[in-house]
Amino acid sequence: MKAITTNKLTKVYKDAKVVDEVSLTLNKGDIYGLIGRNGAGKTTLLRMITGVAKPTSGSLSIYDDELELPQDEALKRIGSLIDFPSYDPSFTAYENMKFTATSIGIKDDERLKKLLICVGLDPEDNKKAKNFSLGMKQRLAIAMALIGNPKILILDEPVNGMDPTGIYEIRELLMDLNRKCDVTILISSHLLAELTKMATCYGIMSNGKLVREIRGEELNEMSRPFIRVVVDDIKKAVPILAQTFANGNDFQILPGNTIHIFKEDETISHIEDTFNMGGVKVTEVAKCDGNLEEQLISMLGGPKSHDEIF
Amino acid sequence: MKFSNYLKADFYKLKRSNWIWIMPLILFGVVLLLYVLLFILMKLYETGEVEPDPTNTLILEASALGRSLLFTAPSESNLTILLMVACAIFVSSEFKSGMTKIRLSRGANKVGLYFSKFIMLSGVTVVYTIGTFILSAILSLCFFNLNGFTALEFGYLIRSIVLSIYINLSIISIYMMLAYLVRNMGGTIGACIGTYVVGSLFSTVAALFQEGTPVAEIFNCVPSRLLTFAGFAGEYDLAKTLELIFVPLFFIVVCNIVSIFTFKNRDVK
Repeated sequence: MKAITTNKLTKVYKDAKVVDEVSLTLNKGDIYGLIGRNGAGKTTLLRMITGVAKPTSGSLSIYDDELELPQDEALKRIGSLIDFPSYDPSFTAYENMKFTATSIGIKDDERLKKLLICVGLDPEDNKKAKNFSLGMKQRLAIAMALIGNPKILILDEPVNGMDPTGIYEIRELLMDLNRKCDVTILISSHLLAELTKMATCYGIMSNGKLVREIRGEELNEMSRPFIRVVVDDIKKAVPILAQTFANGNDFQILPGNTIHIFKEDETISHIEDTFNMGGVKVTEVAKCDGNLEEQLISMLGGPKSHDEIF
Repeated sequence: MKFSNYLKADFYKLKRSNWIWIMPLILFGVVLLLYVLLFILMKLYETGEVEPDPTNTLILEASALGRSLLFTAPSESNLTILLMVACAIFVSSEFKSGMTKIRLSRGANKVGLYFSKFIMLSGVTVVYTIGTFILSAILSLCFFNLNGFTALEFGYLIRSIVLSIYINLSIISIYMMLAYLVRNMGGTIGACIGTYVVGSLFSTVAALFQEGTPVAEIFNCVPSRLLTFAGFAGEYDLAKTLELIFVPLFFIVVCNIVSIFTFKNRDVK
């Protein structure tokens, strides 16, 4: 069941196409991790989805039980934290909550206090938000996003500046909201390792385009532990692979005469023997750990090299 | 989303803001200082320690001075400056802090949000303007006197209060427009000061020309200049009446249209 779809959503600032025909699908109940390098267009995309920025072209649909809602109606069901934590610096945490709640017609003061406690802030604290640490500001912004029991949460770097305990607490909170309250979450984060702990699907953005959408299970599959083999003649190696591994998912042929073998019970010596007997010379062989973060980084184009400065 | 919710939220913000109480205190201090200084000067004239300026006879008569200060109270620049600051804090700071973004992302309507702010600031303008008159009346009674204050003068005073509120609403419309264009506190205050300086320049130029000439009338058409006419205790001719009705109305309508257009068509950062 769809929660949000975008159809060729585009944003142009002056001459720069910041978001380029992004067609994204967020399904109900998903935790969708939006990833990309700085300037990839993630925040602008989220700003358009939340109605803060007008798309230059394309369309956006927000659903409630398969029923497409008008955007202003739909936005009432969305809680968001976009760009940076927004709050009135001259107000306390509770006053900020109260102001936001009043603006959307919510009167349940007790619930506001509970939300603050839930994110680790004291509702009775008279400290002004301008004196909060970055982590506290993030917590307040998350609490504000949760006002009104939203069915969809859109969070842009929600754990930015938080300590490890805070990151853990917010992750648990988001996962609880997703599991127990059926809240659909669209989250952008640079902390890939953190994202892989909760996301059920991913969207990868590069230069304003959504280059790939991938389910969590698919990514897990791609991130299984494997044995990396480099051979001298890949053409000779292919029939051997087909003969040895009946399941095509057990190996992957990559450029540079490289083969990844995903069979968990396979050993390096057996692989070397098999290729040698078939007349294929193994030039390199090594066991590699599966790593979601590395897999995502490779999808983003791999890490930047720093060799030139050393 | 209901418009009344925007009003309630903005009223909550006003109630919780320190500036709403601090600014009238500053105004009170400045006005009090003005009365004290004039009172001391008057006493010095009376005792003969200082020779009075023969061209300025107003200060020699307590009753006339008290009346003059009362009628011209809202045309003092203090109130205009307070309105500038109110606009910058109440509108621009909400853009800067991201609270406008939060409200929009929850489905708030931009026109509704704008009018909620306009109504709240109009309320502040009405309270501050009436407060200025009340303060001036109390201080005029205490320091000078308002002996022989007639019913006709009282009528003029009421007219002056109503006109001052009306003209101040046009001033607040200009400042709100600047706040919606600039969208940050420092920039808004800077733009408002610039506008105020240009208005003062127009008033100075207008004063150089004989009243009623076309050039003077053109330069008179700035709200700050109209405020000085609002404090006039006498009958207006037809031209002045029309000017006092239509010029502020023009600024209110045009500035509100520009503000709404800007708010609707520009993305919120």
